[in-house]
Amino acid sequence: MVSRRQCTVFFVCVTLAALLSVWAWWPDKPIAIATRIWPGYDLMYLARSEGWLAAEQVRLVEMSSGQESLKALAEGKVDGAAMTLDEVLQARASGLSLSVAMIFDVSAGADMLVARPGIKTLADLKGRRIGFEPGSVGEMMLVESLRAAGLTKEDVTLVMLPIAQQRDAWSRDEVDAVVTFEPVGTQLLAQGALNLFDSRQIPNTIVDVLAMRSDRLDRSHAGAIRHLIAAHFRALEHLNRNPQDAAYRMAPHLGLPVENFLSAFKGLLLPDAAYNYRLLAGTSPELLPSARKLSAIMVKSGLLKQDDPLTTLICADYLPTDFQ
Amino acid sequence: MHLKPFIRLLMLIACLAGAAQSPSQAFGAEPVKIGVIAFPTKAQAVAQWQPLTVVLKEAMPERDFVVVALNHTELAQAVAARQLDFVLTNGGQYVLLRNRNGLSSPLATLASNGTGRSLTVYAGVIFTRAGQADINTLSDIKGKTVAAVTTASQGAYQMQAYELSRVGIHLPQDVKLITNGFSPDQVVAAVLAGDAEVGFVRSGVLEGMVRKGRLDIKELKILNRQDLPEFPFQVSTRLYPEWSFAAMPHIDENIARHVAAVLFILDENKAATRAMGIHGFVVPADYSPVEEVLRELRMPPFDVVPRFTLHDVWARYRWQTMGAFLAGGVIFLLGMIVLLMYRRLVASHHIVLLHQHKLQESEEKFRALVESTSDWIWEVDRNGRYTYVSPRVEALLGYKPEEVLGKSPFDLMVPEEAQRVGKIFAEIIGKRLPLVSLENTGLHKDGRLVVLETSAVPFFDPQGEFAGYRGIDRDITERKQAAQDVERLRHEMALILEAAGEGICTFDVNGYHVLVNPSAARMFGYEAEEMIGRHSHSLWHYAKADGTSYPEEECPIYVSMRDSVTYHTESELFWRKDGTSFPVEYVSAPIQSNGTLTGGVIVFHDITERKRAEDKSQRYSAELEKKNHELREALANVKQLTGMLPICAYCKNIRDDKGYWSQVESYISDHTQAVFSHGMCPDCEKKQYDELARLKKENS
Repeated sequence: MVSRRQCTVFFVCVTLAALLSVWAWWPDKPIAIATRIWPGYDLMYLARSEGWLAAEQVRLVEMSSGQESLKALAEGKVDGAAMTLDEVLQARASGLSLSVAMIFDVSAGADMLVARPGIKTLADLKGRRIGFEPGSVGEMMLVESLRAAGLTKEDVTLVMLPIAQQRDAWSRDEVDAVVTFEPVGTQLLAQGALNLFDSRQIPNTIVDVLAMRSDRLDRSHAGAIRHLIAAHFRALEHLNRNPQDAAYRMAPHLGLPVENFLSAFKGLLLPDAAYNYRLLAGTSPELLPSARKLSAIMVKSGLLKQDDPLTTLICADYLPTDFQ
Repeated sequence: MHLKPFIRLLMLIACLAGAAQSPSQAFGAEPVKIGVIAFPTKAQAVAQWQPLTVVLKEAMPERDFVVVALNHTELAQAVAARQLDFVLTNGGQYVLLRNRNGLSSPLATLASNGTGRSLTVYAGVIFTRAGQADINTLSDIKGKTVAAVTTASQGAYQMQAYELSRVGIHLPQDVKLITNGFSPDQVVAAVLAGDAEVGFVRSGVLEGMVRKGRLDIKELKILNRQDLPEFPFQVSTRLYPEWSFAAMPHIDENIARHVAAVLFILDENKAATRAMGIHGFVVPADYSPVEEVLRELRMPPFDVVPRFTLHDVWARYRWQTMGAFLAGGVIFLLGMIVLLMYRRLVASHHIVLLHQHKLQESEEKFRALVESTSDWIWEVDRNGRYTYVSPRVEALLGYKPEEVLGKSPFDLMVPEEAQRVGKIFAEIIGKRLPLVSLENTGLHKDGRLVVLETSAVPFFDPQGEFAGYRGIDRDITERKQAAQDVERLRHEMALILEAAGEGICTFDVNGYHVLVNPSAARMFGYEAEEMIGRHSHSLWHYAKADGTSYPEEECPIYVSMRDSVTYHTESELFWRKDGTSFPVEYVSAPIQSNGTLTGGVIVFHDITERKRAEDKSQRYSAELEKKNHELREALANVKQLTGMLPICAYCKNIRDDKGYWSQVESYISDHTQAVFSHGMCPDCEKKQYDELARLKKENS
């Protein structure tokens, strides 16, 4: 006869096996990711065109501004977005729970304030028209550059200019200076603009991240999120290994000539998987102090009402584990 | 890359002029040999790169420079034999030579001229005829005839092979590859002529042919066309770095540095670059994508499969291996447990089956018993509702079992009886006691009453709760009737025995009294009860009339029992309690039941009076008899000689009273006891003989 204990053991085993199989066969849900035109984000498009990113798992939704991305996130139209860390903090302050799953790039000069040739120093900005993208990293760049110039917002004329309109506004001479970022920055520089202030002066502050709605960080979305991150790193590897080929493939989407493509990345650090681990994982992720500093800057400049406690800001669970 | 003949000629002259001057300036120095791949042909290659030697000579007048155009094999051999100082070749061959012969890192990467733009990358083109309807994607190439320049060509074989390997087509085995010394133009021609279905060339070749009017691009179909708007040529593969300019390891570092410097500023020398048909040279590209292609294709220098040992597997897949082993172990363990449990289950299942079979058998046995018995067996639940009734109920009460199920026993009684029995039942059932032979009257379906004897025991569920009764009902109507009949008979018999004047006694086989009726008791002078159980013979039949002992063996009553005959006598006497006797007439008979002797019965009456009367009458009879005898004797005498006898006077015959005449002797014989003997008297004799003599005489 079979004893009660054996029965118990047997049923525990059967239950475990059933759980395992359910775990293994849990249906994966697709995700939608809001993006903008930005070299750091464009590797996702390279991955998609090369077939490394399955469209049925990850849908990329192009947005024209960070505000649009935030709106789509808040409405649940997208599950995550490629956005700047300061936007993430703002969204969290507004009650939308977001977590950083990956870092696309760290701006090291890619965000800049450029001015017309006559304006030689930051101090010369006084009384000028400065275009900037509101509610985003642009606003922070503006605040930081004005502070570096010893000016306040009242000293200048502010023109709200989404990134898509900046080139037109520049050529129509509607602004004297503009807070911009790549690739528009390079394009304006090519038209004779001068770089007066860039993100190298505020290092590790402007970080582009993959922010996921915290409620999507579950079992059913894990497959798609991992897939997206892996595809991004694969495209990044291709860019590093065969930059010329990548340049020809990525330049049209960014609207850049191939010759200028690689220089559009010059202001950007593109962290690979290992670097992402350093930034996001471990006992003291490097992103945390930067985020804390950013939060402080944003509180000071009025972009945030209070410091973000930064709990659940980082979720490194979806980074690949098999890098060498 | 294509040189205008005129410029080529100019350059050649310049070069020859330079060469003529050189011996005096670079005394004893070997010319620096630059090996280039013979593309498209040796002559064209030499002509194309000759201007480079001129530029180099200008920069380093003390050295001479020579361009040697070699095909892939020759180039490899020349490098191996250290016959060259610099090598300008495609990325694939560069990787090969670097790995095999220690070629330096590239000094520079060629920037070719693509419709006026600098191109530091190039790619491969895969094409087929425009009319080739069955080839539209890379997958369609499987099994087709493919024309290529050589497998060592990076842009006209390796790049294409790499793309195909990514869709699962492995060259050369998956296609029919033709590489018999084609030039790129000949590859295109072969495809157009139908000799090959697919062709491989490097990017720019087709556009060059179109430009020269040797090809209408509409005749061809580009496969796996890459959407690269910025790239000036149609391509089918990824982009890879242009040709590499590398130095041999033995080369003087000074020369290498100077050559590199010349290369980097070559684009400023428009005349030279135009003569060479290139844009110049740029800082060396990363050739690792090329290396990856060769690795993937397992082409030289990566054609040797690295040794892959178990240790490598362990080093690389340690956790996976451990996990797999662990999972395997768990699965094995679970399997064993399941197997063990299965075997035990089978065994216990077998036992259960056996038990079940036995149970079934026993149940069938009991069911057969229950259903074949003349008694009705039933079960009621705790509410007194029938949950089982044996089919016998139909014989008892006329109901089918299913009609009875769910009913209560009281539904099968007339109300008065139900009330009566209900009280009794309630008391017993309340105490959970067994019912023992409780008599009650049921109502048959046809309306008649049936007397039942009910016995039952309570039963309890596994929790010990009272669950109902199981019992048995027996139809005792007939038994009841029979008992009444017997009682009546017994009563009648008692009356008869009481009333009978005759004494009647019965006894068992041994002669002990069983029954004595009052008449008998009175005649014997006993009380009837006194006699019961006492031995009959020794009580009242122990002696004969003369007072001698009467052995039982001789007793006719005993004999009648023994011999099973009925015996009737009037000549015996029985003894009273007081020791007196009386003559009796009795009939004794054995009592038999089913042929077996069970006892005897005797019916008798006192014949003292009759005997006395008989004695008297006997005496009278004897006297009468005596008188009679005397009379009869007298009568007999009268008979002999009385009366008148009419006698014939002649013959002396006598007439009897009936008128018949008979001889005197017969008459006398009849009427007396005298008998006659016949004889002849002498007179008669004489007379007679005379007569006779006379008659004789007459006759004679």
